Amino acid sequence: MKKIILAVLLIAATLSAKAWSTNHDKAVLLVASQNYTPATRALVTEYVGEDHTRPSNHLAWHRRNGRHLETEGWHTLHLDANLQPAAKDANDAYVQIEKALEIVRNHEQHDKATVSFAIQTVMNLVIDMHNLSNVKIEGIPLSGTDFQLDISQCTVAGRPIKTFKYSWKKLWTHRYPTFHGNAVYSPQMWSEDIVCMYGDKKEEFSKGTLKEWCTDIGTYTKGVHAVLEKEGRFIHKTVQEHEPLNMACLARAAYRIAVLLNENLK
Amino acid sequence: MKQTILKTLLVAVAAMFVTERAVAWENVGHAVIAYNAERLLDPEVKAKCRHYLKATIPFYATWMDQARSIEPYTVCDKWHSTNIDANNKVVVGKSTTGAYHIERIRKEMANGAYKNMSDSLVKINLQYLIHMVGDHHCPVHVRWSKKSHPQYHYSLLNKGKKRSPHGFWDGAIKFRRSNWTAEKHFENMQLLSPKKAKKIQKGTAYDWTQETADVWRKYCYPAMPEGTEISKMSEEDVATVHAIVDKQVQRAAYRLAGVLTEIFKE
Repeated sequence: MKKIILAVLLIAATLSAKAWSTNHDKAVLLVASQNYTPATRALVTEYVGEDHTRPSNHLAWHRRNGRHLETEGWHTLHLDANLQPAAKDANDAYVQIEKALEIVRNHEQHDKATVSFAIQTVMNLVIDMHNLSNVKIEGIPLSGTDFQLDISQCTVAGRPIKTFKYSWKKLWTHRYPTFHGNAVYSPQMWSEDIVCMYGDKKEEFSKGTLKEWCTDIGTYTKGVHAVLEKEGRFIHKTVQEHEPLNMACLARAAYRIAVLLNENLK
Repeated sequence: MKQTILKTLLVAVAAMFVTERAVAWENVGHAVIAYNAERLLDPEVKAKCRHYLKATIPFYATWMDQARSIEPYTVCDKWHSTNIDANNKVVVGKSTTGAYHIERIRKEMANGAYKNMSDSLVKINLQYLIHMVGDHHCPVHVRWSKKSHPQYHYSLLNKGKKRSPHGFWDGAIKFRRSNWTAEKHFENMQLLSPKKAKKIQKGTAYDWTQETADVWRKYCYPAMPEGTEISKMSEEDVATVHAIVDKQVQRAAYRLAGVLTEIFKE
């Protein structure tokens, strides 16, 4: 009985810790991989393996197997009211990315398993910090938390369809893939959309430091919460209007993972 | 007590997965048709489509379904299907039908006329075509009047519960192969010689809708008559359903590719 309950809780923890859907996460890593320098690509292959998209759920995978349970709180990005990184402890994406980058920079001084874990942590957490539902901003009580959402005002053939509740987390992780057919829409397809939509913004998204990217993503998160506060709920139209922002966040994550690994994994 | 807790936990976990699947039901077919069509295009036409869409063709495959409840797109709410009259003939020239608008857009964009349109108008027209060509190959997207064809207004059964034929056929592409990606569906599609492709691409949306109506009358309805228990269908019955759906998907993909080529090919 205890084992079953533990297994159920582990599955639930894994689901709750995800950034985007698996295919979105893998698409980000596909685009990142397309932007590695030849040297970075070779080192990523050496440390991570041939499949550069595998680390998309790296930390959750470890936890599911009962390892690295301390990583549960690493997926959230904490920002102060000025949108500066403001972690109170080690349970923070920015803090853990910096720590992992330190290992990546000095990869020759560490054993292969440690470097592999660090590279995959960078990939995993850079993806996570770009998902708006993982960003917690001081003074915005609902940010960084999962709460029920009222997605309504939707009609089909002139008749209102059933209003349904959706969680904030699930909105950013699963709602958009659902629009496109979920599993049928492969990581390769998402990666082509990321490049089609935001390939021309690669330089713009790649500029800056990790710290500045935290502020950048905080700005968008704050904007979305302002809409939520103003309207009191997210309606179907608002959800639709925010898909480009979601895609832009995927693109930012992809190009920034490439920058971080190109600069640090030498 | 233990049993109750266990049951509750298992039901909760099952619900996490079921919710995700249920909402994805109708988007798969559109994504596959658009993906297949894009794979059939020559590079010049594909590049022009992506240029105007700022995305891949499959990305907009389901857009009309999402937008139909949002202003100013509520106007297209009835463009997803076309009427069939009492003599089983497609109704021509009615502006509340999809076939009318497929032909209208084809005409308005033909012979380079798209070059005189704003980029945003070209984009929106493409979004309409991508979805509507797909819709008009779905056997349940022809409108049969209840008065003239009462026999087509009936129910199937799924584990004893009533299920509409519309719901079943809309998602039949995914039926018992829910883990297929768009790539796999493309591999499954029978490719045609250029001569056969041209033959299948001939005609108007009215011709294609008439053909879809005939497919419904001659194949779908006899294959799944009233009271058919979906959960007890034999492998042979499932193969029949897949054969019907795959043929319609092939026709839709080739015709969508043909429409886009006729617009953009220099």
